[in-house]
Amino acid sequence: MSDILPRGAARSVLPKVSYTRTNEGFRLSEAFDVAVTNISLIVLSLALSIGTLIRFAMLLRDVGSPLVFIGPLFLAVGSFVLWSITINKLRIARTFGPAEVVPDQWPLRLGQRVQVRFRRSVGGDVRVKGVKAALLCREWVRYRSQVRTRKKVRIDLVRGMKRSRTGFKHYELTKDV
Amino acid sequence: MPDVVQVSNGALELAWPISIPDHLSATFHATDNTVRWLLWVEIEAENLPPLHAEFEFVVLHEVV
Repeated sequence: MSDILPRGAARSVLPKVSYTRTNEGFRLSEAFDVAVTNISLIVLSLALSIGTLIRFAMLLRDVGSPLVFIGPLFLAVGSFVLWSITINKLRIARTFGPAEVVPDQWPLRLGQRVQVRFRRSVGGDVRVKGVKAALLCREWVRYRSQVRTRKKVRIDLVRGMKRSRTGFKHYELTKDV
Repeated sequence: MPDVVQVSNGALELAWPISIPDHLSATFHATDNTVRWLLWVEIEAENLPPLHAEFEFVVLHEVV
């Protein structure tokens, strides 16, 4: 018997989804941590800016050909773009609070119809122009090719749906409100 | 269209009926492949870039 059973506890085939049980149902939190993303962007922007300044300072010390400015120029443009993205993200984080979703049943089953409630706190005087939502089914397959190179492939299982701006086929749940 | 759209008390609230297609795969996670079900939501606000959020569902293999 012990030869048949694998050693250790059996692993679940379901992913670990972050949720809490409340009076109104099961509350799901966002799949990605917004704070971690914003902090990472700030650190990256700072690092790139400091790198650009150092590079320019080194060039000013011994200027040779004008071509040597091409590299630092790309660094400066990259730094500007990264800071633009970071500042936009921080403005969003200041305006909107964390989002949560409460499905009326949990876990869900194939063929099941469920009511899903979405909630997000909005701070300040901001006008919401529209909300779009999509239900996505994504599959990742990791395989070894003949040359033993590991690759990751994403297969979208939802067929016959129109392609959204994000590149995923999806079920259109809403139009602009 | 969502059944309920409400912006009050500094909160945006929406509700949708969602049908999980019964011909698709249930949630599955293994070493070499994964099937994930996600609710993707985009909020468009004035003078701000679009804000996206993703929530992961667990969908069991049982068909209702």
